[in-house]
Amino acid sequence: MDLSKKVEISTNDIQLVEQLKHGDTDSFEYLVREYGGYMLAIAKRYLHNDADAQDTVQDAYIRAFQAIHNFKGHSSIKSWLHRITVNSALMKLRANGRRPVELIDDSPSLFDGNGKRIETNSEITLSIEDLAIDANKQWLVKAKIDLLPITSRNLLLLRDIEGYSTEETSELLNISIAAVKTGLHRARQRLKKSLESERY
Amino acid sequence: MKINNENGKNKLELKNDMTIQSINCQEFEEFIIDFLDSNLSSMQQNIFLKHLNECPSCKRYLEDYQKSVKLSQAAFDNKGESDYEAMPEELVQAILAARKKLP
Repeated sequence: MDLSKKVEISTNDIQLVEQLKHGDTDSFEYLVREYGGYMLAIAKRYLHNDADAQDTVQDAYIRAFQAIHNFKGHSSIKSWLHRITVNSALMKLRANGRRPVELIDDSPSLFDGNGKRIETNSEITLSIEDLAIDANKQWLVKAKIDLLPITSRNLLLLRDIEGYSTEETSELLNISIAAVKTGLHRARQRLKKSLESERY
Repeated sequence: MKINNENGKNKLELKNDMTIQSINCQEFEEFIIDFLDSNLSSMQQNIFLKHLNECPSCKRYLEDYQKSVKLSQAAFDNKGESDYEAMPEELVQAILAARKKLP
């Protein structure tokens, strides 16, 4: 699902962009009907209710319409809209402020004075196969991700789900590359602990 | 990622001058991200893998760490079904109406 990589723009995209740049009304409607559902699905990964997700898609389209003259064709239109949607969703999250998070054991891994790991008996019993055959298990893992602190959740979504690189994630969240790496490790640790706390 | 010593360098960086032959579990963990992103030099990777092979505890840790990443990806895998949500007609109309108001 790595849409963040640069791809060669298709002839159809080039033609569509030209028509959009000339203000062609039908092309704008095509852009909304063709990609709106996709953008709504992306927005719902980040936002918890339909109204916020729909607001995000509307904001993203407005930004896309305003920026179409700057579209350089370094990516497909779908990839370009994907990134704008993620940016709009992140802005919406910032505007919404705090939200509830799960109270999980948030302590880092434990080491003794020599830096040797102090083992625990915890393990993840849920398997990838469980998720493949049981939609409820998929929902459960999504819920675990939803309940992570917002920075952890955004880092997981951007890096592990959307497939953005460390550098791209750094730009999207306006934080340093080192902060992305440290934060992602912390986010994965948090999810790991949260999954270990369940018996399936 | 910080494994700073008194010189401000991390331990794996120091391995490039061949002064250090091994890392402990804590240092191992701090380099997992770069290992999984293939961002370690071959020498750094050898030292990382050496610890992995010698430490069952870190091996188990890394396995569960990678499993949690794969589980999160599997949670969003729509198994070939459409990754599109139904687009409400009212939203389409609202977007097109908003566009008309743009300067």
